[in-house]
Amino acid sequence: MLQTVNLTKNYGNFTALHGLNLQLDAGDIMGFIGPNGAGKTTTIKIVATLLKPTSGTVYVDGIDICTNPEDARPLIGYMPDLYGLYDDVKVWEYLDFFASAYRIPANQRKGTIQDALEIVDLTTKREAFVKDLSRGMQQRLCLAKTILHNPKLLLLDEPASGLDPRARIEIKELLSELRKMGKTILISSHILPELADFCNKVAIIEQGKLIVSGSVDEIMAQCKGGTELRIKLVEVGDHVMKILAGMDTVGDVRQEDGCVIVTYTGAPGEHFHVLNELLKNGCQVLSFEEQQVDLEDLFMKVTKGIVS
Amino acid sequence: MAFASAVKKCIHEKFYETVYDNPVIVKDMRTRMRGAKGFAVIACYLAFISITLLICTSASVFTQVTGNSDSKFGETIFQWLMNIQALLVTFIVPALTSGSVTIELEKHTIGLVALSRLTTGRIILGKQLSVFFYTLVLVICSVPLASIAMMYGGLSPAEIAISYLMLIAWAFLISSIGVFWSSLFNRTITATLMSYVSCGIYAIFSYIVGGSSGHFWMMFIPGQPQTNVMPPFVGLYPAWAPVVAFSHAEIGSMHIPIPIIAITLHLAVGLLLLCTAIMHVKYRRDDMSLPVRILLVSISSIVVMLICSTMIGSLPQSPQAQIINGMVSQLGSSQSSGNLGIGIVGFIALGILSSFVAVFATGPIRDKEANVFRQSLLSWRKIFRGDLRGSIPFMILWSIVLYGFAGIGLKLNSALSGAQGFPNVSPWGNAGPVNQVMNSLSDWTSYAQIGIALVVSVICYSAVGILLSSLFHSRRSAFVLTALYIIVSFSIFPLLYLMSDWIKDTPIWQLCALGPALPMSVACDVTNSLPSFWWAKEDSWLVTSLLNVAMTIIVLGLASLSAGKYGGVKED
Repeated sequence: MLQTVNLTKNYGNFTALHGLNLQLDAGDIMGFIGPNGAGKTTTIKIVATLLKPTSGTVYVDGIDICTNPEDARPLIGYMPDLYGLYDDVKVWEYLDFFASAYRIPANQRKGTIQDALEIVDLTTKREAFVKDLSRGMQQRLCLAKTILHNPKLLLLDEPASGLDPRARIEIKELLSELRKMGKTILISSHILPELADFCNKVAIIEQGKLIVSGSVDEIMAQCKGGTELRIKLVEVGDHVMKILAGMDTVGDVRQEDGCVIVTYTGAPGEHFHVLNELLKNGCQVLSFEEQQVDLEDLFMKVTKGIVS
Repeated sequence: MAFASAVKKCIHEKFYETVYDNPVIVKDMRTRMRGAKGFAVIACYLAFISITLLICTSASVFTQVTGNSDSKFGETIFQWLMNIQALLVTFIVPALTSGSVTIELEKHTIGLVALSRLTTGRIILGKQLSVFFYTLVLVICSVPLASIAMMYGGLSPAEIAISYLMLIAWAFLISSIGVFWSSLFNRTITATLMSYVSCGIYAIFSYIVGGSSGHFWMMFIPGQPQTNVMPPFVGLYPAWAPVVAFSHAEIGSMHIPIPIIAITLHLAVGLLLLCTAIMHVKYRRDDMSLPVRILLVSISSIVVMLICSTMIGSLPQSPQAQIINGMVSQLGSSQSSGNLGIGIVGFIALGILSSFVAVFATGPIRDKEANVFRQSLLSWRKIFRGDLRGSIPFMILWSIVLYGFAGIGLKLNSALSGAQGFPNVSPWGNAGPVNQVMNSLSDWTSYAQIGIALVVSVICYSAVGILLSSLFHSRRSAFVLTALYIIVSFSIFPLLYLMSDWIKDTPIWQLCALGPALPMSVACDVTNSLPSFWWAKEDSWLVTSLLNVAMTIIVLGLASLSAGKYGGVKED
């Protein structure tokens, strides 16, 4: 559905993007993560056909957006980080403006607007002025505008920034709804927990360079260099450390908060052998679990904390 | 039949999409007319007109300016009405239009609009038409006030209708100026300032120049007002509309109504500005080079033709010719008005063309590896495209068309004054070896000589623009330096002329030939008291042309080298 090929963007002597390659299949939801100034918004604006790349190109549903931006635009729904709203119009008038701008036939507009309002749960605010809506509602209205023309690809640039926790949860629920509708979504954010349980793919970018991209599970394994196991024992002594260090499928072994953290490098799903080995050597194991690494850990691990 | 219905359907669809179902118009009109705000503006507009009208007409009655005639009184009321409305439209409309595009940038909505299926043309036209329609409402609301003037007599409905049409065309132009500046800048305050400055300058210019030329005409040529013959641009400012509603300009044997000239010119310039604005909308720049260039060439050529045919040249009894002759005689000229006309026309044409060289001859060089020299001179297919490669061919075409229309104007002018042929006196006598040959060929010799110098100078200016575009990464730098070069080149002769007492014995004086002002000044014959050149003064056109040809070759050669080395102006 979306493919960027060696995407590079220069602003004068400053290179905002260095040969970025991304791939999203239909139905994918990719979290586009990076610190402020990493090049997320530039990438999204290029994909949205609002900026021209210095070199490289982007394909949306097989259409080269650099040569045929007009053909690609109906397929794209774009929600900018600084979302634009006309504050002196009513909610339905705002959506009617964009419905007409997207050439939705006049006799279908009313129904389309109603559907979009239902999805974002703003039906009761239909006659309200945009300027009177709360920030969360304005964000949802902008999202309603984005899905109005039923695009295949949604580009959401920091959709939950500046929202309170309640509004953020509402936006998250809304995005889950869109995922169920089969939309392909590229969502940028630097607030990682909001993406963790939502995306099936992740791309991390820093200083305009793609550091890592792929499915969340793959990247976790790749970045950790194996599965981390957290083992709680009645007594942690040197003999336990020796047993673990002596195993071929164990990499790093360290103690943390009274537990032993083991990096398992063996075949996936066969880390029970580590437990068997401990029990066989008479170790009293209280708990044995796979360590959960979230996106935040992953992000901190792969980025250098450099803000370009 | 099928073709007719297809055309009808196409026009209907275009009208439906552009005007009736244009979301920009719908939204802007909706918000503008919502609540009491829109109606309050209309009420204030009418109240201001009514009160001012009352004060002005009362003053007229008390001072007996209009005498006791009711018909004169009616005419006075109507003239005041048009004066006030012209002023109000000039003040109100820029305030409504100058933020039309910049507000979208400031509210970050431009990206969302640009991504929709709205074309840039619909966006710009929507912005302009929404204000224009609102102004129409204001203007139409004042019609009942005009009917008061009608009650006193002396005014026909046709006169009122023509005057209102001229005011509406004025509103169209003013609203287009606002949208044009709004598309060029990122901030509303800058766009508003530029809109007011440009509208103000044009309003004052059209009021004073148009009005004064009308008065001169009436004063100097008794009988002209009775025949309603007036200079062509007398009715540009709508305040003059009641005076010129039934007047016409005499172009050769043609009688062109003054209102037609004003309305057509304002609509055409308005359209030109809108097309230019379409090329500047952020994120969605549509290439409107073809209509922009066609409109620019057409408008400038027709305006120059109208100027030449009525106001300049061998029309000895025209007030303009008398004034110009008077001014020139003070400079020591003894030239006949026919030759003077050629010189002045050369200056006007060069002035118009030079003003636009920096616009058309600067920009990114697309094919950096190719030979810029060959590209620049032979890319005639790109003449109506927004491509630097077509800039020199376009400037050549424009120069020829513009100067050609100027010649037609002078020819018509000669016919009007009863002179035979054009120019019927050999312009520079028989002095100079080239002139001796040229003069024997045709009466058009001097016209052709100035034309050659003009075209070659414009080519050289364009070449300088291309060279600077190949050197700088920023178009703004190339633009500014090209404009500076043109100003220096244009003023080199006047500057050296002023310093002639000090430099007359030095070779510096010969540098006069670098600027195109020399041959035109020779044509105007203001060079009698000047020091001698290395060549016969009458051959100045040839020397200037040859120097400019040599400069063009050198400059384009350098551009070929620098384009590959430095890359030149970068694309947006």
